[in-house]
Amino acid sequence: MAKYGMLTDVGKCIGCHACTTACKVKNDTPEGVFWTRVSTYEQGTFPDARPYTAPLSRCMHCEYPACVSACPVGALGKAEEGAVTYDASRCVGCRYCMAACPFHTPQLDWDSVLSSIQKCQLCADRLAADLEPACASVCPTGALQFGERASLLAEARERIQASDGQYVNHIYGQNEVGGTSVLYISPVEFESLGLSPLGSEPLTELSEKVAVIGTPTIAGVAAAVLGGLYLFTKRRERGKAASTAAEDSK
Amino acid sequence: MIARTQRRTAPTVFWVVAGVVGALGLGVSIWRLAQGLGATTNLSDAYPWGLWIVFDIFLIPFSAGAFTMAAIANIMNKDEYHAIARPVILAGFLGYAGVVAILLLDLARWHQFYKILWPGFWNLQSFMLEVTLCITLYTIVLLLELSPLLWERFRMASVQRGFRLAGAWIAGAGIVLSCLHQASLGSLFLLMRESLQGLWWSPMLPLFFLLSAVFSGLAMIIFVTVITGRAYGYPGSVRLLPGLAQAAAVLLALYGVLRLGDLVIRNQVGLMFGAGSLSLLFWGEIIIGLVIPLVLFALKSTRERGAGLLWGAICVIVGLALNRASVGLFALERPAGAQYFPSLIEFMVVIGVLAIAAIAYAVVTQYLPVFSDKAASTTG
Ligand code: SF4
Ligand code: SF4
Repeated sequence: MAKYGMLTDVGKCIGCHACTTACKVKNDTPEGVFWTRVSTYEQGTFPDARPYTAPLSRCMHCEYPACVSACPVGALGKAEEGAVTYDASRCVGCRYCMAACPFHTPQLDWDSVLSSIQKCQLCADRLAADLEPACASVCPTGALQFGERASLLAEARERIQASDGQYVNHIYGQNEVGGTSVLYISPVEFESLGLSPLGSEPLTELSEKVAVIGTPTIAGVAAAVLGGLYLFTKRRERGKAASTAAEDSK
Repeated sequence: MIARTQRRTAPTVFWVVAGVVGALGLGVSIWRLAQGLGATTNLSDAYPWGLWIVFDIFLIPFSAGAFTMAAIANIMNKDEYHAIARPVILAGFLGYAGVVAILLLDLARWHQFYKILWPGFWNLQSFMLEVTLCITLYTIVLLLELSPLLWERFRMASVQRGFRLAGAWIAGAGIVLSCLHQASLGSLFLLMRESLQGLWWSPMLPLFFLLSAVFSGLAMIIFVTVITGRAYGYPGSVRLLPGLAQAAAVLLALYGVLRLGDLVIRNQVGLMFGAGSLSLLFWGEIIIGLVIPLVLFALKSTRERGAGLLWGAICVIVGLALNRASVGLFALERPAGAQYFPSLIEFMVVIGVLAIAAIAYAVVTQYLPVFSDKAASTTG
């Protein structure tokens, strides 16, 4: 099955907010909540400052999503095609997913009484109907491009090369925390856009290893030590009782 | 004369203050459930976890006294400890009941909390699941361990005999569950390699949390025994405490060596001095929570005195609070510019839970044979 992704080209974004609007309409998100939203970042100091825009701080649809690993009730899931989706009917609202996400992207609609997690679902329902995600389908400049992740990576590399050193020579999301479905290329440092440098090992590996190996080990060792101690002290007591009895009979 | 009126007014003040604070806490808790998290807390997308989570991850190891006690009294068959077991197990149970209450209040979708108990939904890789299930089961175990109070009070001899047989099994289950969830509380933060600062994030987090729970549990036993001994005029079994303090000293030393060794191996020693306020926080935790109590508990002259024991225990508990607050809040990197300070309601809930626990402790100790010397024959 093809793995999909989304390439975001910061250099091509003109800040028209078409994607913000399309997403809001398609997903009917609560007031004040945006699953994707164009942000502005100023680069340089006055009078040479230059604003950059891009739809940032949206779910990256990680290949090894920490949020999915964190969720106790399986309300979050990663589809083989790439989308990390959310099912409010299971969610208990513990917000472990928010705390665990390295990009700090899941939100909560705090103003509701029974809040739910708010995050981009990569328009999984549109994908199922062979449509692109709403945001990419309306982007007029190609700053948001949907497609197979592998070909997007190739495309990104080409664009960086063609930029003649204008672009940072790095595809953000290719390897970060094990790779993400959403990719960024940019003429400005990623860090100034709020995309912090992250290691390339998945966050989930250690935690899941500990869950699978550590948990039964702790339970087993604790039970064995306890049982052993119990038997040992019981036997010693019986020994003591026997010896006092022997002394008594003397 | 004066002394006598004081003795009489002190309890009245306690009942009034605890009653009012507890009732307020209950009231705002209902308000929180009715109004939602946004309206009642200062939590935000940048700070999805706040005071309540910190309080939970602190109160759970603090209440570990009950499991440490059960281990000593039942499994190692150290009968003399049975005499101080009940007050400690009661305090532990009330601590866990408080944790469960606050966990529930903290759930944004509390109306679906039961879904976490449904095996069909379980994500076995989630430490949030393991922690929740273990805590739920363990609270039941503590209730069972306390139930002889009732059988004794109402003279139900046959049930009492049954429990004496099952005692070791119940205690054993409680100990295994405790080891699991104390460690899993640390594992919760394994996923946060990128956001939890290097002085606290470590692949050893589960071991650190387990170890610190055990010595904090010992500190809690010392604290509860000394305090109840003073407040109730019950001599307690203070003579048993130096032994516990000595065990705590060994564990504190081991913990210190592991923490330090871990920082060296992970090459994070520089952070001990170069990370501004977080470095200070780290040293506060190490000095208050580790060095001072280690000295107090290691020296024979201090651990055999009430004051030395009490201060050692208090230092361990303060150090534990600092550690858990760092891991759960202060040392977690959040988006630039974000700030969090708990709301009045968040504070009121926490203080209310403590007040209700204190009332419950006072009531139970008054009407049930918590300090009974016959305890030895029935807790195990
Ligand atoms: S970016 Fe965050 S919310 Fe999105 S898949 Fe990754 S961990 Fe989950
Ligand atoms: S808040 Fe909901 S989706 Fe997020 S981890 Fe908790 S149960 Fe899962």
